[in-house]
Amino acid sequence: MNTIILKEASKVLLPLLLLFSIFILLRGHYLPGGGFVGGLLASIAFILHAFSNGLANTRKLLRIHPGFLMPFGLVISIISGVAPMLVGKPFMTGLWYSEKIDLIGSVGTALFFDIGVYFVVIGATLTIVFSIAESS
Amino acid sequence: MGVLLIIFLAMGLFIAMLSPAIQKRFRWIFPLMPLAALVYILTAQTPVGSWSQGGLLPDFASFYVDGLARFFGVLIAGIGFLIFLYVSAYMKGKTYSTRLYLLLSIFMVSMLGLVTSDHMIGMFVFWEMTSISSFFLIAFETHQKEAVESAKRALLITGSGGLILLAGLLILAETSGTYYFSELILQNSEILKNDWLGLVILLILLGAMTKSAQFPFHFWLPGAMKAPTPVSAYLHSATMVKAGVYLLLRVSPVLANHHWWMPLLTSVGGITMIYGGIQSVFRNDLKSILAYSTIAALGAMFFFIGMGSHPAALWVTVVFILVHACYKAALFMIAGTLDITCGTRNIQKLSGMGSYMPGVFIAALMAVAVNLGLPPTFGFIAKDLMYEFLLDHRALLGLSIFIAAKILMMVAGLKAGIQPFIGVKPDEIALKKEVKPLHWLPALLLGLIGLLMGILPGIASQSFLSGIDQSLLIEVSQVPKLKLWHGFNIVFWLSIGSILLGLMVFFGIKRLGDIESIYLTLEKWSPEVVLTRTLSYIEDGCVTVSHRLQSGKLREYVLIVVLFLSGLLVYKVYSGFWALPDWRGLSDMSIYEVFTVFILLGSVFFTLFSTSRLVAIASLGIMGLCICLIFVFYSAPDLAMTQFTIDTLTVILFVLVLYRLPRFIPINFQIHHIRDIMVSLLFGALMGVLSFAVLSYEPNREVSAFYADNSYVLAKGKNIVNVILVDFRGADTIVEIIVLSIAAIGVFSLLKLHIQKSEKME
Repeated sequence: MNTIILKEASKVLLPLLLLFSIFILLRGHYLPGGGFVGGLLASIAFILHAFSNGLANTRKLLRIHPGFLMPFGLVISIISGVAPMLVGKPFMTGLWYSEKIDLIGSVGTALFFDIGVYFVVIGATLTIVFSIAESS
Repeated sequence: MGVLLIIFLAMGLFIAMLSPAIQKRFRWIFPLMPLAALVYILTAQTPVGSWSQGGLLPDFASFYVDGLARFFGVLIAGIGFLIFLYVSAYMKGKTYSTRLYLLLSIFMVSMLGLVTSDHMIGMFVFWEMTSISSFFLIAFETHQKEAVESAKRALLITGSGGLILLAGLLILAETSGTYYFSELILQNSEILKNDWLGLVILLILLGAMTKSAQFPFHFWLPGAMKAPTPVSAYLHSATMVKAGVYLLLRVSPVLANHHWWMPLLTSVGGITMIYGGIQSVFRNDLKSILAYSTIAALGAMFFFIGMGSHPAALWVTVVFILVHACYKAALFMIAGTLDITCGTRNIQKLSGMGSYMPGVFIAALMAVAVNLGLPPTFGFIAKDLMYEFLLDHRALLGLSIFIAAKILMMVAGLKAGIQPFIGVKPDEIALKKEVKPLHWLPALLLGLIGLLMGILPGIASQSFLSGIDQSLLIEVSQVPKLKLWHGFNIVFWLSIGSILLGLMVFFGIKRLGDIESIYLTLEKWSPEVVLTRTLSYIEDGCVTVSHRLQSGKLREYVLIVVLFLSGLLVYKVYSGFWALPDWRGLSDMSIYEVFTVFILLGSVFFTLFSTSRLVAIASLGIMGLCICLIFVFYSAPDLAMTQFTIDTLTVILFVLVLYRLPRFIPINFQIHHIRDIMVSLLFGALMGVLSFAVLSYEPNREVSAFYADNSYVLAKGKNIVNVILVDFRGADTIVEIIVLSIAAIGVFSLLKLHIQKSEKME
């Protein structure tokens, strides 16, 4: 799959797709999207890069093992669930900032939860695909 | 109390996480823990009261330190302290001593929790924790296969007993209306109207029997002797095996008057007493002797608890527990010292060591004196109490069985405590290691306590035993006074007589030499062998079944699942369930949908019939995209997006996995093709019927209405699907992402970790 066209295209597509995935993630609360789809889009971006440039290059690009993204995402999600307990509310109560931010909308624990899901999905998908790709 | 336990646990774990060099400096902290517990228990006023720590800990972690709990707590903490001191001498020069301390601390915490817990489920949790920590302690020398096997066996038996116990406790709690022991005791008189009481007694008894090594569940205890000796001294003689006894004592105010209580307990206890006693006399290994005599002593405890409808029996049992703790732990420690210094535990080989280790010999003499019940030790008082109780209640059969068992226990004590020290030293035994003071001082201390409590029995009744009468609902007038001298009555002569008989039997057996071989021929009828054989039959059966069902071929697994589902649906259809599409209610079909369905059918055709794997995979992908389009047509954009991305990933995964395989080769027989076609058609038709039925079913729109109304108001989001995922049902999502991670880790480890033969652990 090492055609020049794909290689050059993936160099451009990767950042575009990553940006798109973050866009999908942040818009999830108001329009179709969310953490799961965003994570899947980001993993597809990396896999496209891996197909065109070779898996080793993608790993170098990532710099960390994708497996580390999973606990990272889990911690973010769980902290966003535990945070309300520190102010005396039950687990996973939604806390929101009173002001909305431009382009993102309301910011609150649900957003961080979604970000955690985003990372977990990227980590899990990339781990699975990379492991299978490297073992064959 | 609960907070104290948590502090101990945390400290122990923290020290264990430090590097070994730092650990060596801080090892002295460990013996301080039981000392602190001991001080706390002794100085607290009874009863400390029921705390659940003000809601910090869950409900079942409530503790109630009454007289009985205090008694056992003193035993656990006091003997624990001495054992911890002993460990420092025993483990000198051995590695992993911090791990031993840590595991012993965890055990101590669990045991303390067990005896002080007020909630039945809390007690059960600690009960299981003691089983688990005992498992790790028995298997401490992880490279010794027999030790690991014994640990597994012990866990199997005590664990199964634990489950049975849980059933009994649950029935008791649900039928009596409370989960708290302290409240249960208050119901004392009405409890007898409870019809389930007999079953409860049986279940709790079974649980106690497994933990306290009663016949026929006793055989894990001699196997547990593979543990390091401090572990045997602490767990398997003085504390963990007493957990069953504690439990029976705890429920005795409520259950002892039931008509099943006495026959069950006394028969179990009686059989165990005699069985353990006989076995202990035949053995050659010091620790085996002590293990079997512990079994016998536990049997005696069960025997006396069995007569608990006369409350004085319970008091007598408690006194005996105190005595037994004194001498048994001491004897074990001495056995361990002999093992470490002389290198062997075989009493056929050990003799004449008295002059070489005088300190140990004196400690042993004191322990044996308490065991035999020589005046003026506390053992004498205890023995007198037991004989007196049996005589007073005219239980002559019981008395004779008990005297026989007691004589056997005395012989065992003499064998373990005296025989290695008297006589002539054989040449092949030499002192491999020096005898340090801490090897025998803890044992000597126990013996001295035994002697002291005998001379001044007031110490025992004021400090250790106070408050027990309230826990066990014994009338103060029925509590026999602990006196050393009762006069020259029958009990006295019985006492002296049994001591003399014990000595005679001992010297007689000593002359016989090695008699263990006589016994070993009977081994094949022992419960142990029966159990292991049954287990291996079950294992063989399981292997056969697995081979049948798990053939390794994916298509057979799918076939089984599909057939089973079809079977269920056929049964439903047979009992009248049927549905056809309602033609009048169909919405308009647009040309796009028709095209999409045709493309879908075409891709199915290509998947099934093409010979190239890539074409098949690509068609599969197209199938997914068509379904995605259908989602778009029916306004489910989130679903469509997710389906789209997952479909892409699936195709990629399939390509990665299947790309290297050759073209499809027809290797199935024709008959298999026909079978597969028929099953698929059947399943498809049933699924169709199911879909039509779903369409005609009136859904409950209440939940959707709630979400539609409230998602912006309560959760500030307009995309209901996403709001449900991350807000309303966020807890489900947490579990989902955990499962995702587990799946990824599973794939990773299956593919990446190839354990080579040289890396495998022996």
